[in-house]
Amino acid sequence: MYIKSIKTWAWVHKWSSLVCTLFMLLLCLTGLPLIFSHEISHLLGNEVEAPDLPATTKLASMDSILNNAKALYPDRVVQFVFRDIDEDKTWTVSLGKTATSEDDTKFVMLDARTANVLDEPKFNEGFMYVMFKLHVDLFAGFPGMLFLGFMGVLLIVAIISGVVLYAPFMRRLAFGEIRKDRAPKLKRLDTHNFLGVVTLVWALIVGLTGVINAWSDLVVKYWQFDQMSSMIAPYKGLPPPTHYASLQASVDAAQAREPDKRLGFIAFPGTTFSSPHHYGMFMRGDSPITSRLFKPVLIDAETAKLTDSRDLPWYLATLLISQPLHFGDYGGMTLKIIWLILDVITIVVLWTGLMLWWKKRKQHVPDIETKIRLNEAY
Amino acid sequence: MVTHLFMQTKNLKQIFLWPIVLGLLSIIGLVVALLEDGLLEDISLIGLAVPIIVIAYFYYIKKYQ
Repeated sequence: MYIKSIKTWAWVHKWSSLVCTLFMLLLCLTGLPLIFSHEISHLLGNEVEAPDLPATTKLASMDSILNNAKALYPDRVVQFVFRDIDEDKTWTVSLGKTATSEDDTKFVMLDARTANVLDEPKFNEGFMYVMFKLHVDLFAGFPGMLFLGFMGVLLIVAIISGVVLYAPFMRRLAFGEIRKDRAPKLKRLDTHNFLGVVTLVWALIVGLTGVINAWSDLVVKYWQFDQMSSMIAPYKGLPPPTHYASLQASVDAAQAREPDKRLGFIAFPGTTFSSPHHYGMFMRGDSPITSRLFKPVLIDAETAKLTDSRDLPWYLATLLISQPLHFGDYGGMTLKIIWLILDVITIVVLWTGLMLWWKKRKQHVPDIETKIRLNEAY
Repeated sequence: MVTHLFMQTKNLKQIFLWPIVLGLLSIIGLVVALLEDGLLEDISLIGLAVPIIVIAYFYYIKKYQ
């Protein structure tokens, strides 16, 4: 009975790993530079910084920021106004061919105090963009995201079955013992087991949050259907606005509703985070966790008056909290370096696992009982 | 010298004691750093670094006779 169940787990571990391993290697390798994307673009000189101005300098009106960005691309539609979590001197405006178009988006970065155009960052080209796309959707859009999400599910299965198999192989080995002076396959097996079990929790969390992120498009769609539709119900069937109220007045209305939060980003009418009639103002708190849990405030784009504001539902909150746990971007440089090392260790686990399988493909394989007794590799 | 053939068979508790301790340290480190800033965050980052230190120690320093 016991041997039979070990055999089943071994089968599960072998096939769940084999199917996802090459994709996981790709994700680990492309993930490495992504951990440091901020630092890398800084080093490459792609990051323009706002000039130092006295701290008392007043902020520019959001209307002039918007107008200066639109002046560069008059025939385009503004989609979002956003900035990084730790940035407070600039705003970046994204302009698309339509409100929901995702290709050939233009970005304009402006000084938040003078409304001067500082830069036109190219977020959609270059080395980091290729790394990002390979990591997120293999350049295959939504189906690519779901596919990688499914590979992540297999990784989780592989990790859990790996933990189950850890026990029979460790009965006669001390924790952390690597049989370096014996057959290479034993050294490989011990390395695989030891590194795998020690980094287990981190790999599970990063895998799980990666899977959650892969569903993000669907989660946002569900939020629109579940919450947005009832918030904007009174506007159903109305023609789109013909003129738009002041953006600054709309920001002020959102700020008045959430005085303790600050503006994180603005979704413009017609985008996935707003309605055709609204500015979606997404307000964030200051602590590591509340700064990621945006509170949506819908402002009527014609009158700059508050329409509705609701707390995030659990599924969107889960998505937003799973992001830092996947990116490792919430603990400064120390956490990034820990992420880097654990990522490299995961690559070693994947590689030794693959090699264990590859090297023994053509060998005579004794039955599982013998293998466990000899502490041998699968 | 092969030690493991003479070594007494370990039970599940002995096998999983270390992995569980390290796993708990990792979880605490990951979550506390997300919830807190400042000193507590630094402590939790150390917790998260412990598995890495353990790997380095067993892999490169500790010798088995």
